[in-house]
Amino acid sequence: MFPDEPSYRIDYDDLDVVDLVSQIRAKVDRATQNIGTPPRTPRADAEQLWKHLLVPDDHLEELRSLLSAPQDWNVGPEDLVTSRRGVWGDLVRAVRHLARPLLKLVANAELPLYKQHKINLGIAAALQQLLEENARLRAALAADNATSKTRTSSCDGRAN
Amino acid sequence: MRLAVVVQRYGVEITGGAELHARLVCEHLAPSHDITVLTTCARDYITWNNSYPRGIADVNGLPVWRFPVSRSRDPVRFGKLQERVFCREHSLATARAWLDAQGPYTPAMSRWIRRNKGAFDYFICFSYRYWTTFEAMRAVPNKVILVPTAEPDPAVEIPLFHSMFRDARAIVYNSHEERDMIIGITRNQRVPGDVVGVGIIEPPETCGERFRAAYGIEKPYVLYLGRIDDNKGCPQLFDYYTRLYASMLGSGTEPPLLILAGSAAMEIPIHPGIRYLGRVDEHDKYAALAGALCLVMPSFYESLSMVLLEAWAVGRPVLVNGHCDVLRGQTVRSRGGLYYLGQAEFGEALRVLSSDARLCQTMGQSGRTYYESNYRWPVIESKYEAILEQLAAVDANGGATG
Repeated sequence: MFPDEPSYRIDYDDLDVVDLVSQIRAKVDRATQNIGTPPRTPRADAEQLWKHLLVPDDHLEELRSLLSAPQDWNVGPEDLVTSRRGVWGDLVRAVRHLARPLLKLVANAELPLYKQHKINLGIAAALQQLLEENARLRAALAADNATSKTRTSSCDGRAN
Repeated sequence: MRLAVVVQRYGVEITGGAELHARLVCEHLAPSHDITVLTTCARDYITWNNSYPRGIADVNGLPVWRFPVSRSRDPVRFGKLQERVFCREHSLATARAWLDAQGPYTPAMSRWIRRNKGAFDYFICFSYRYWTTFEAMRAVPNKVILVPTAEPDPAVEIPLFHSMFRDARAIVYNSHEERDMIIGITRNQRVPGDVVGVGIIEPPETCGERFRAAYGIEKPYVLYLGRIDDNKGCPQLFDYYTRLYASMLGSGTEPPLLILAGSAAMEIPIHPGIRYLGRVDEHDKYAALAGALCLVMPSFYESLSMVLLEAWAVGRPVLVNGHCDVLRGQTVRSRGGLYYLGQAEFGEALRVLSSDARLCQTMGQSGRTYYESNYRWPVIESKYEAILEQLAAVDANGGATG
């Protein structure tokens, strides 16, 4: 496949399979780079990763404020009786409370609502974790950029 | 000792997997122990339909009790339960329902074991994931030697099984990787056990040239042996091979053929480099191995690959999927081949093996030495004996209650 490459270093008396596979991998990587794929460095990999992981600022804020108010997005069994019609709402709520056992007899909507409630909380907790991880990555990226700039300017200084 | 061997299927017609493993172990332990096999009437591992007659039979001189499967597997129900148990948090009851649906559901065997447990010193149970093993473990926890044959798939993580791994009297692992995985998941390190594996049917005197002549194969070839199946990584093998074939032809190099032998459970691509021989007998299998450049094993999940041992037994190297810890581990320990993690590595590794006869010979020889030191039957038998003696010594001192 790669005829111009030097042959492998193989100690036939003491074969090292892991070493030989590493040599094969290195050769494959070099060949991949030669046909135009940008060289992979840890930093390039990290930037690619960050590009996918980092969410735009406004989305982050939106998400953060939404997660902080579960009453605005979550559902639960209480929603079956809730009403927001002021004084009339109190009456409606009372009637719904009274009718609840009857409703439950016909169709028990409370159970699926409760399950959905728990699922939503789980998703919210996972999103919260992602937000925290994102914040950590941003901080790491900022620190890395700062170090990198310092290093570059120091190199520039030596070159000059 | 009086030993009962519990396994989901048993018969000379079953030529692979844990069932062949169990049969070979039984037949090799039989000269020194009184062996009784407890199994089902099923021959098909998908439906568990009863095929063999119930009752006692003689298989290669061993008594085999076959119990009827009360419920064939319902693939739809099983699939739904498996999706829940593998992918979501679930209750113990759901896991139990999944196990019952997986089967082979054989209450008659469970009852028989409870009635006759006093007649046996130990129960050697094969394959942790089946109903038969689970129920045997419940019936006689203090007497079970478990041969898990576990692969790194989601089943091993199901909490229902964890107590089984912790409560077994001893565990016979197939590989170092399997042991590490099970200990890592179930924290059962205090359970005595050893990496034993299984031997193979000793290869006859073979000649690769005669195989080539018989099947009209003139070019060098790599060999795939076994069930040709999605689950064995065959689609990836076909993809990698056909791309390599085109690339080698493009660079003016003659590509090796890919020879397939075994039962086909998927469509095999029609390609000038691929030849399918169907199922072959033991003699042709070893002759095919002897004449091959190498054996290729693309599977992602294995607990122990017997075909690797067969290749090494005839001194041929292997090329394995490096994503499978067990295959990679065996290959590294034996120095009997190479592993790959992608198409480019597969192609280059195959090119290296095709162009370096000395390397193939050296790797084949290393593989053979590894097989002889670790997987010849006298080695396997002595490891089983050591485990049995260890348990018997503990029991003689009142260490366990039956």
